[in-house]
Formats: sequence, structure tokens, C-alpha cells
Amino acid sequence: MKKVRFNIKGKRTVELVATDDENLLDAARRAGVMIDSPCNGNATCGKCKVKIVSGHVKTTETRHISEEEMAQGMVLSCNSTIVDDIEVEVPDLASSFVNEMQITDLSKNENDNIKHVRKKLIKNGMTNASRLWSEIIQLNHPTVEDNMADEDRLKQYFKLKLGYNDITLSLNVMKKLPDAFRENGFEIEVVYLKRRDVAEILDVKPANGNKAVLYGIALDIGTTSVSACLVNMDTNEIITKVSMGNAQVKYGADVINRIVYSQKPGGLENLRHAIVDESINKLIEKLVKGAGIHKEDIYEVCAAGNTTMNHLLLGVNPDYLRKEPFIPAINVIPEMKCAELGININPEGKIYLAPSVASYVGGDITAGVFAVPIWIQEGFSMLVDLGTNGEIVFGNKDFLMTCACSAGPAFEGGEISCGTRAVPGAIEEVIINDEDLRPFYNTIGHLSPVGICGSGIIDLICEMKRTGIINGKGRMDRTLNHPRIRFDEYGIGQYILYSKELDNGTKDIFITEIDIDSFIKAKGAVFSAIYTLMESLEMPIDVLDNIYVAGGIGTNLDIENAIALGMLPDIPVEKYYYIGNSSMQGCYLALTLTEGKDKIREISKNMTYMELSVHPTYMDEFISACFIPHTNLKLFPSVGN
Amino acid sequence: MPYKKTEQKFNGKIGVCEIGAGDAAISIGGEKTLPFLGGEGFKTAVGIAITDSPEDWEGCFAAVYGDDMKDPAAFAKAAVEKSGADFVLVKLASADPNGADNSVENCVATAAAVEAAVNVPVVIEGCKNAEKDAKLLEAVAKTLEGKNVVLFSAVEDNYKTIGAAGGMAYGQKVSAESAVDINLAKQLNILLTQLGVKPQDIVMDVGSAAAGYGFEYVASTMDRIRLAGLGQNDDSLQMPIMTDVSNDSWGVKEAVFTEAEAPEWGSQENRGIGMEIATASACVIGGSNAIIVRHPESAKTIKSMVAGLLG
Repeated sequence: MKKVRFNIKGKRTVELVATDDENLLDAARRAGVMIDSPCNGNATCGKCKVKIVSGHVKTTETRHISEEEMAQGMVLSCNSTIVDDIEVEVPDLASSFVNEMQITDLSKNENDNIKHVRKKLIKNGMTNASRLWSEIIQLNHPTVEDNMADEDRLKQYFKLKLGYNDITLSLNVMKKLPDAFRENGFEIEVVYLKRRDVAEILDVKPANGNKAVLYGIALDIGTTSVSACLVNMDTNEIITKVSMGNAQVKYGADVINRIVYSQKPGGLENLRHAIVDESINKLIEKLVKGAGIHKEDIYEVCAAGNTTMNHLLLGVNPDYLRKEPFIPAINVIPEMKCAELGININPEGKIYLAPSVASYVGGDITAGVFAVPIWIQEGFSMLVDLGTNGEIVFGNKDFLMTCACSAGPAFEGGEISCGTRAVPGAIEEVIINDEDLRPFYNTIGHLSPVGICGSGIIDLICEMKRTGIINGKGRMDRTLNHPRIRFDEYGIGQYILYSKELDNGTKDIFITEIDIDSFIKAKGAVFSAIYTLMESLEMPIDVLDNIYVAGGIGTNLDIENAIALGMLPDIPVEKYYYIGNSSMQGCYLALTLTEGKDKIREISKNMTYMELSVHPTYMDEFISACFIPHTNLKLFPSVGN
Repeated sequence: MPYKKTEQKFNGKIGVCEIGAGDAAISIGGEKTLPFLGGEGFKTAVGIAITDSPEDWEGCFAAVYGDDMKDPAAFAKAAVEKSGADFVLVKLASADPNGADNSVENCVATAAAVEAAVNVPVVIEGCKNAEKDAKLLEAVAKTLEGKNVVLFSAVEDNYKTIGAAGGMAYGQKVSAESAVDINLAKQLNILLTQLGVKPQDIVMDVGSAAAGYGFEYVASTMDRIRLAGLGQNDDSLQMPIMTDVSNDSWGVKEAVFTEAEAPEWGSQENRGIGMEIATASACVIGGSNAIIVRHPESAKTIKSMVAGLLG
């Protein structure tokens, strides 16, 4: 038995008793200490670096730890075993990715889009109200003559006064009925869901004069980050938004690594626990505390996640998603009680999960399409969702085609040396001076920089290309002799944005050739998916009226730079809209419009999925696109040399 | 009904690259169609390879060249005379820092001597060490200014130096080398043209393999490069292709095993020539506008094959 103490960024300390020879990463996971480990403990990615402050561990040499770092006590936690009482410092780099929870507002783009789309949908005949209702009602007192049961009395009221055909109620509600009716002279408050002509009673309580405010949650379950919005269901107002890294990250950065982990003993349960208890319930707690409400007042969750996230949330074996022919266990998930999944809201509260279309086109996309909404437009539009998986939807009111590509977490700052999610302090805009190659940047919230988020990475690489620091292959110019350009012991080039030495900074923020290469692969995957989808329909890119770009890249995205890098098709920038998190917006709309959820189901049924991995030309297109901007320069006429 | 021969027409055209200076100059490329498909100008120039490190070339060539092999200028002259080749390629293998590490000055002197000794265009090959080749081919380009030689070859790690010196400052031709991959070939061509090297000053060395040793990759790469250039009019793949098959052909066991080691296989020299002809002819059919071989007999055979096919 050894004592292990983790110091996290100097913010908090966690102690735990480890067994002899326990793996340090396993111990950290057990203690709930987040250590980024995209390769899931194979000692290949080098992200789980920690510093042993006192005591020592048994570790093996690795190319990820330089001699200098080794002297400082840095080790990879995944290839270190605990043989001593130790104190471990989890450095900023490891903990910044799965950050502390962030309370944010929706960005302006996001707010504008939901308002605009909500109006448009109501104009198209949707009901401007959620299906969650509450009423304060006065029932007649029973007598010897009027001797119907409490439940019949409630049903009668709903039939005669509110026009419903029937009501349904669960055992929990039944248990509440007799006392709630009698506590305040048969004046009660009823919370119910409108299901066409049936009212599903969720709660019955004695009336206390004021109608309680009902809340709902729009929840986006991303592979990399999870965010939730608390919605006042009476006014449809979004009260707060909270986001955090998906706690499953410690079991692997992408869905494939997580599916692999799910096959280990206890893996599926650990993953379910990470998403439910360590992510969703924490977000809900934060929302409830922030808004000063009770979680019992939350009655509905409308959630969207990719197909793997859905499987893991439900605890359904996801293994067949990654094996040819890539078959999901379930696409359309029936509405269920949050309590069944362990999600802490009102015990009768419901969760609706947006349906998937295929193994790699999930509910995040069907919800996203609902929020765009290309499905009511005459002209052709496209939705490009830049997440860990890039998904593309193309079509109009008559048809929708979709495909997915594996972009990796680069757009969300994952697997990038100094990458971060779009959190305060993330560098989101970069310009490099032509003359002296000095960088100028903006961070989210104008704080001192903590890392680079997706939009910052796009700007940075674009500027490096423009100023000749890198060539079209992303290789740095070896002939440049500049204090901001250095080469490590393996000859890998780095460009320094911010450093202790040059900027009196608190840390070093830089981008390496390996990062640039990951980004080029990510953007190549997205562009070639767009191109292949359009080619297969024999449609030229310029039939597109609009392209909606979604994803957690940052608060803003410089479309011109994204085109210059060959990430998005070269059509006029006026046709582009960056709308942020479309999946979250779809959840919000489904929560606040009565027909929303059914509509998402309908959309998902109408989407035709194209499997790129077996498409004969996709791989060629991908390789051609792994160049800035593209090896076929004719596809990018507006991008000069 | 009379027979009507139809010919497939393409939108694109392969660029013309002129190599050598004065009377010695020849041009390669310029065809509008796939090799040997109708009379749209495809022809192949045949080059003969010599080396400044003859000890590597084993017994087969001592009998052909005798003492001429010891002096690169005499070697080059003899090679051109014996083979009737259209141009000569000199391998400056001695420059290799992991081998003899001969100085840049010495190697440049060798290149200049070879150039002076022959009346055909000259292709100068480095030692395949990217760093050394950058310095070496830059110096060659400077010394042989006006001779319009081909610098063989620029790779991703040194294209800037070789492209800037050869293609721009000293008016030579630059070969862009990639490893049997259409996209790598294309990327390097784009990088060179973005640097400022004119497309007509670039030839492509798209790589090769000895016949029977993964040649199908070479065949499909060449096919795709030519179909992209001709069919899709992709101007980043319309440069002439120059292929050196000598090292690959003479490096496989069929050519390396001596008669003592494999008596049942017969003459080592004949086996080497056989490998070289098989490989070279396949590259020519694939679209090589200039093919480089080591043995004079191989050169003669390929020349007569091309002449025969063109009719």
C-alpha cells in the first residue's frame, strides 16, 4: 500500500492509497484525477506526462520525455508503476484539455441562429410551446355520492376541462396522489406532458398559490466536450450554459479508443459512469446551483450525441459499430425516464435522445439538421459539423444525403501540443506579421493565453503558410533563423506563439509540425468528404446556396482562412454561416417546440447515408486534399500562391 | 465498309523540356496522347549511366569499358560511343557522406570534365543524401551555367536549394524525385512551381522498381500521372518523366548473383541486361520520356524497340 497525492494545477489535491505496483494512470483514474490519455495508456501519444515531486516511480524510457524533463521528474503516467509514497503534480498541459467547468453564454452566432430558426419553424406550422405543461386545478371534494377514486377524479378533470381523452401516471405519481389531494383541500398543481390527446402526469403536488417554474435541459454529448443549457420551459429562455470536457476522455480521445476500452472488464460500466456521473450530473448540479433552483423542477432533458455516445450512455455494447459492416445496436431510442439512466433530475423526468442514422452519423447531426434547417429549404444547402468526427449533410426539402469522416479531435484542440477547447483564455485568432514573423493574437475573454482552440489553430496555420514559415505540406522552412522557430532534438519544427522566455509568459504555447500534420489530415478528411459526397451526386460545388459550419471550434471561425487552407470549398464567403454548436441548438428547439422531437425522428428517417470508407475514390481524394490548400489547385481558384 | 482507325483524344498535353546546349540539345516530352497510341509525338530519349565510383559496378562492366572506367570523362565518352545513347547520366556516388565523402569541389570537377568530354546532354546525379546533394547540385548548377544540365534530383528535403539554384539562378533543369506516388509527385511539382521554377524547367523522377519487384505500383503510378495530365489537363502533372532504371535493375539478385553463385542461371551480364531491358521497356510503355540504363546493350535494345513501335 502506497500513499499517492495528486496536485492538480495547484488548485486541489487528491489523495489515494494505491496498491503496490499499481499503474500510475490507473490510480489517477481511480482517484478521479483527469490525465489526458488519448492513446489509452499505450505510451504512444505522450500526453499523460506528469511530474513526480517527491518519492519515485518505476518507469521506462520513452521518446516523449526528454533528458531535461526526466531530470525534473517528468514521467508518462501510463508507463509508471507506483513503488513508493509519492506526490504527483499534474501539469497544466494535461489538465487544460478536460478543463474545469465553464459557464458561458451562447455565442452571438448561436443565439441569432436559434431565434431565427425558431421563428421560421413556427411560421412553418410548429407550435410555439413545449409539450411540458403545468396547471393549478381545483378538484371537487369527494362525497358519499361522488365517490370516484382520486385518479378517476383527475382523469375526469382532464377530460372535461382540458379536453384530453385520457391520462397516464406512474407508480411514483400514484403514491403521491392521496396526500397531495388532501393537503390543500383538493387544490393541486399538476405537471404533465402533452402527448396528443393523452396527458402523461409527471408530478402532482398540493398547490401553494404560485405556479412553480418548470425547467428543461438541452444537452449536447460530444466525444470531446459535453455542454448543457438550462431552459425555462414557460418562457423558452435559456438561463445558463455550462460545458466541460467529456470525462470519458481519460479512457481514450476518440470513439474507437473508447469502444476498444468498453470491451475490457468493467469498461462499459466505467464509460457509462464517466458520462453520467462525472459529466452530465455534474453539469446539472452546476446549472441548478447557478440558477438557484431545485433539480426536481427539471422535467425534461433533450439530448444529442453521436451513435457511440448514445450506446455508451445507455450501456449498450458498442463494439459492432467499429467492425465492418459497422452496425449500431439502436438508432431510434425510445423516450425514457432520466432515472433509468441515473441522470439526476425530477425522478419522473424524461430524456429524449435524438436518433442516429448510422454508426457514424448520430443524433448530434439529426438534431443539428433540425436546427439549420436545410430540410425546409428549396435551394441546396450543406451542414458541415466539425467535431472529432466530421459529418456532412447535403440536400434540401426533398432529400438529405449524409456522410461522416474521421477528422480526429484537432478541431476541438485535442491531440494538438498546446490545444484546448474553446474556453476562456484560448487563443482564437492569430495574425503573423510579414516582416518579423511575430504573432499577434486574441484570446477568448481577453485573458492571458492558456492554449490554442480550433479557430486559433486554423488562423495560425493559415498565417504560417501565408508568411512562408511552412510550405504546402506543412513543413517548416529549415533556412529560417528566428527566435520563434526552433527544432527539437528529433528535428521536429516548432513555432512559438507565447513563451516564458520571449513574452514573459506563464507557460509556452507553440505549434509543432506534427500538430500541423494532424490538422492537415483533419481538414483533408473533411474536404474530401464534402467533395466525394457532391461528386457522387454529380453536383458541382456551386449549386450550394448556403453552407452552415457547426462545431466547437471557437466563438468564431475565419471562413476565408478555412478556405485558404483547403478545408472548406471555395465558394463566396457570403454563402457561409458559422453557427457554433448546432446539436445543442437542435436540442433546445426540440425542447421548446411541441412537434420538435417527432420532426427530428422524421428527418433522421429521411436521411440517406453514404459510407465513405468503402467508397472507391474517397481515399484518393483524401490524399489529394492533404496539402495546403489542395493538390488540385483548380478547386481553389480564389486562393493565390 | 472501310476500316476507320479511331484515336482517343485528350485535352491535355505533356510539356516539352529541352536539355543540353547548342548542337547537343535534345527535347523530351511534348506528346498529346498515351505512349505509342497513334502518332501524337511520343518518343523516348535513352540515356546511359556512368559513375565516379566504378568499384561498385562489379565485374560485368570491366569487360565492357576496361580502364576507361577509372576516368569519368573517358568513361562517359566510351559509354556514349558504345551505346549510341541520346544523353549521359553521371552518378556522383563518391560524394556520399556515409561513403567516400568526396568533396563538393572534386565532384563538381568530375561533372565538368564529363560535360566537356561528350557531345550529348548531361544529367548530373547526386549521392542521394539530401543535405549533401543540396550543396553539390547547387555548385554543379553554378559551374555548368549555360550547359542546361539536369540536376537529378530534388527531393522534398532539398527542393528549395536545388530549385532556386538550378531552376532559377543558373538556368538548369530540375528533376523532382518522389517515391512512386502520384500525390507526392504532384505535391513536389507544386512546391517547385510555387517557389518560382517554371514548369518547362522541371522533369519528374517518379521512381521505379525492377520488373518483378513491385513494378505494378510503378505502372499504376505512371498511368495515373499520365491520365491526370492528359485526361484531366492537370498542369501540375504535365512535366516529362525521366526514369533511371539502372540501380534497381542491377541491384536485384538476378543481376547480382555471380555465375559461381548461381551457375544454373547462366551469364551474369546477360541476366543484368535482361532485367534492365524488361524494366526499362515497361517504364517506356508507362510513359517515361527519358529512360536511363547502365549497359550499352540495354540502351541499344530500348532504342530499337522504341523505333520499332513508332514504325
